[in-house]
Amino acid sequence: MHSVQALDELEKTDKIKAAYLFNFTKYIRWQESEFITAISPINLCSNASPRFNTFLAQMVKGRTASDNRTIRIVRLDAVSSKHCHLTYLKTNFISSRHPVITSLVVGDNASFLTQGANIHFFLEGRRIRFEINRSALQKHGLTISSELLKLARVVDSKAKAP
Amino acid sequence: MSIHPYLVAITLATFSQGLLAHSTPSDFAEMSLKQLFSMTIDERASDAKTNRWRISYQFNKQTLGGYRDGTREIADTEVLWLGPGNPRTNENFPVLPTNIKQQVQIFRASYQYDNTTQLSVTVPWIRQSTDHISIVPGYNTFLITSKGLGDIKLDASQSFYTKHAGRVLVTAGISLPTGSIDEEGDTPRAAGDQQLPYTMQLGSGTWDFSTGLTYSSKNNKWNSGVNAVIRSSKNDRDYRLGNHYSASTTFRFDALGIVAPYVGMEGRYLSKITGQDDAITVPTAFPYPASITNPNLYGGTSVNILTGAEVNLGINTWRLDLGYPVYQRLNGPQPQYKWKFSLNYSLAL
Repeated sequence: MHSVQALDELEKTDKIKAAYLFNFTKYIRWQESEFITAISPINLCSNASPRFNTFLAQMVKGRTASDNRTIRIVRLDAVSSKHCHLTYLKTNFISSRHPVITSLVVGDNASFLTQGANIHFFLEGRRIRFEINRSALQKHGLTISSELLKLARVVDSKAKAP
Repeated sequence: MSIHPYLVAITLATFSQGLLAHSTPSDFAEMSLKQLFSMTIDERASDAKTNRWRISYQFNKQTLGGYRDGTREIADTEVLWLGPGNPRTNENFPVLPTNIKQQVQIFRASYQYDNTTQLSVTVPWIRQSTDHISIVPGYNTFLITSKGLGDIKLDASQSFYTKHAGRVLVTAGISLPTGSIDEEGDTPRAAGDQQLPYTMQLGSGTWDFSTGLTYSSKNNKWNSGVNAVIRSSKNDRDYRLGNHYSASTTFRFDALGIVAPYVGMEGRYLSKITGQDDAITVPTAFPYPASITNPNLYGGTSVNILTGAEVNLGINTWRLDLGYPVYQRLNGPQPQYKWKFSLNYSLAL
């Protein structure tokens, strides 16, 4: 047993993505109308592994995002409807019975564009990068920090339209 | 079976895995966007905050009771020689250990050199007791105890990552002969204190080498590995404890959030003791007063089912391990292992 017990460290790739998610909550602002009160937390929903979500929860514990809001990690499942400010999709997620209301979807990779991701991660060399669909975010009333846009690969879905 | 080195070795193997201290959630939370942007995904890269210490405490308990020869269980009354008028053989004895309890408290400090290399030192503190019955007048029932520092171990582990297949961990260590092999107690062999059997000693008396190879699936749910402890030449009392080898596999469930239970299976092989401590024999046709004084009645093969759980809360990690034998083939008659229990706490600094 003992000799082969679980090695419980999250892969570094996932740690970096978790840190990016935390940073997204700091460099993106949601409309006030998306919150019940001025101190309501940002709901960061995720369908990644429990270990990833735990890592994420430990990361944001005691820390704040934009507008000095706290962050609540919500496990995304098909059991109940969720209201999310930021939704991270690690795997495909389709639940017609219990829809997810969200203004920002971050996909683990480009394949999530078909699920409405307006930010997705990609690998460039040995580093994690992210692409932002700026017009889609703006359409949802989100304000993106220029600091975040500087590091992102920015696309504009309107500009791409024929 | 050489009991304490066995238990300590299991425990050390436990520690040599699973304590790789990579960067914590807090480390990553403190990183700026630019730092994240320049960070590579290579586990070996030193762009994350590394070089950290981890301290651990582990409490282990194991109990042995009843006798087994090969795969056959034997009643205590078969192993106890009932005295003159009854046939004395190499398989019955005038003194019979009935219940052996062993506790090992292990203190460990680990230094994470980088994301893949860890160095550590492990200090065991051993406490053990054995109940006996015998036909010797005045010693119908008696208890022997011993306690003290065990063999200190130094080890290093190195992880190798593959992009799609998971992780391979290689561990190598050396244990120093710091545990006493001169423990004495009052036995029926003679008046006053005498040298105690192998099971009651605190160390091996030799420089021992350990090595292990563990594979973890990419999602860490499956873990499989092999481990070995190889003894060097005989100790000052002219014997050498048996080498032991083990292979195991576990499966972890992630469905319970921060609590990760697991189940598994383990196979172990332990060889006999080589040589003999003449101080624990008697100069008769049957020189071994108890089975545990005969070096040939040690070792064997066992298969154990394993279960436990780990709770991971940031820098604090708790782990519970339980083991129960489902198969034992022992060089008997010798006391059989009944169960083992381990509770571990570790703190990243």
